[in-house]
Amino acid sequence: MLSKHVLTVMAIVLVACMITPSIYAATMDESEILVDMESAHADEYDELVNIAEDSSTIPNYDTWDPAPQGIWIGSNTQESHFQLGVVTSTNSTVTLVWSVRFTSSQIMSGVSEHTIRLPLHVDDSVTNIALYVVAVDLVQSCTLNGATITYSSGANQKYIYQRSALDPTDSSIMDGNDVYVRNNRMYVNIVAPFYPGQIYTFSLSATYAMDASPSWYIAPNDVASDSIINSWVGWTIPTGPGTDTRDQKRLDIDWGVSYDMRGGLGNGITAFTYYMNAGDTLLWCIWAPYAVGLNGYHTLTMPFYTDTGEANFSVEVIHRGTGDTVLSLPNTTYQQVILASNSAPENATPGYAIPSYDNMFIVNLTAGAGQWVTFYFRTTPLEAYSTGGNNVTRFSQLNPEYNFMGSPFPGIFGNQPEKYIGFVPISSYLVCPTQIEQPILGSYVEPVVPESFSIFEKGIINGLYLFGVKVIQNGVEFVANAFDIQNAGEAVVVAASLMMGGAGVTWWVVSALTDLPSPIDVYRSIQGAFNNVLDIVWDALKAFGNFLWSIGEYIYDTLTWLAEQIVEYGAILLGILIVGAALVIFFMPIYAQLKLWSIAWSLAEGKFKEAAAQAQDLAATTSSAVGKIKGLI
Amino acid sequence: MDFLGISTWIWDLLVLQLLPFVSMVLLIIGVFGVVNRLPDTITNYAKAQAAKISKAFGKKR
Repeated sequence: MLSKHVLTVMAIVLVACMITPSIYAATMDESEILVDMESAHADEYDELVNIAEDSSTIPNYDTWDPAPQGIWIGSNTQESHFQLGVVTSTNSTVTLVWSVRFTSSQIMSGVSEHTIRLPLHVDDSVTNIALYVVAVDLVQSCTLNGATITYSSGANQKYIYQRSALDPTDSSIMDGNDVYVRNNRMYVNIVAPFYPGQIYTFSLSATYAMDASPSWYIAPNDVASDSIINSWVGWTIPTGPGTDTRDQKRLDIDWGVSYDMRGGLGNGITAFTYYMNAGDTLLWCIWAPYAVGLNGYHTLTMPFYTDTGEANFSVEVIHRGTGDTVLSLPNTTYQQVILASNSAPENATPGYAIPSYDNMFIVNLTAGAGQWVTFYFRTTPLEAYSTGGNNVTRFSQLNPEYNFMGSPFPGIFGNQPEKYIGFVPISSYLVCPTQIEQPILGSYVEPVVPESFSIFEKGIINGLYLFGVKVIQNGVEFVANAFDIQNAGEAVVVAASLMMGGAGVTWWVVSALTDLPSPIDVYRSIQGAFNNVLDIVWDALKAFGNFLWSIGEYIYDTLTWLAEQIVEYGAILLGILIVGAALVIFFMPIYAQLKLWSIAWSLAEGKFKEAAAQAQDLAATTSSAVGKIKGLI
Repeated sequence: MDFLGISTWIWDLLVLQLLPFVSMVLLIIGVFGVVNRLPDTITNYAKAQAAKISKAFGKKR
């Protein structure tokens, strides 16, 4: 019969139809054609990218060389290379200015150290680069006149980084300094405090040789997602003696800058660990109004950390105004804290009780032997002040010299130290009525102070005794009633002495340096005294509440899991039903048509009985199918 | 393409494309078969009727 051959053919066709879509689905992803249309001026930062297709997009993160080490902030995809349509003459200057405001989700409570990749394209035609960073109060913080920047009134700018000569030919990462150029991009390591929510304006000035075409990179999106897309470019091109061509543009775009946040800053305090060779120095400035006009022993107190707990330093303190050396103590081994006091009292300390350029003490700490040393630093708007051409705080290596942190030089704002922000080591500088000797760690010595001393002087001595020191006045030691701290109450008394003395070091620093109980220990002692029956009842109720909570959480998790399974496998079940329905709806009509044509052929052949038999067969089959469908329903 | 996508693709192929096509093929084959068979059937029918008529007249002679 006809149905025998047709059904065989149809079965083969159906099998083919079932297999084909799977093959088609598997090969669909490979059939895309990517057309890479590179620009003639493209480099590795600039090529046509398809943002919708992840596989062809190179993240901007991957263009860093070497790869970032901390929290990276920058544009998502590669930057575009933009060339200025001018040709430079000798000593032409191009200035790029941009602003950024980081969020706490990016840098938490602050950053003490980060590496920035500048947007400038650095090649042989760039002879010098200057970078300035200021904290400002305005988004529109400045304007440009050619390459010269002018800050707006109300910007309240505070310099936190200022370097006027970055070497554009420095390609070495390991040479010890904080600048290197890789793949025509300059990376600068900045050690300065950056806080979330604060607007920072960066200005970058590049000096060019003759016949150069300045170029830089533009970000495809808002860098740091701070809604600040406010960038300036200005250029000044000398055209003759005393004359130049200058222009400036402001664009609603971000320059191609990115940041690698490498060091945290907890509440304005951070620490840095460096390997100090013999002869390496740490230099910083101290403004000590409480020392002005006093006769006495200049005393420097400063904590540090080494693996052995010991380190050898030479301490030299110079008064900036007079140039006199007020404290010099060479090659002394200290334990955990530097406690340097000169052997003879100085006459009334010169200076003024207001912060000024000449009223600073310059502290120079020189290592006596090579070892790793950790110093603790805090930010300050006051004492981060210049020493005249030197940075505020410097860690200097002999060869090559390495400026530990950038900072302003004098002359920009005159005697306005509040304009500067930087880091200074956590230390205290006192003019004491007595000489200080080596600390005796782990003990508190109650001093016997002559009644003739003022309350202020008594407080200072009390504060110094907290470090466990031995005090000598006119050859007589002030040592009496020595005892160890045994309980929190005594520690509170000691802390009160410290506050009265104004030693400038907080309690936790002292606790870390000595065997005194820490504030946490004191807190636990107080907590223990109040840990009574009510606490036990409260804990029991809390445990029962946690049990109820865990049951509810288990039920919620189960329902969530069930919903996820339905969503995941429901689509597959629906697909199977669709395939089944498609097969039924396809086969049944064909079967019926074959039967009808068989009946027609039998009628055409005049075999009426055979036609009637086939009609009955079709009716029986249809009735059976309808019955099965009814059964299913 | 996920499983549901493949299923709907099979539905489109079988129900919306193959079923009308196969139906058309069966229609052509069926009509061709009927037309092919009808002449013989009609001829046989005519012959049978003619034989009956001839037989009837022959008996009368």
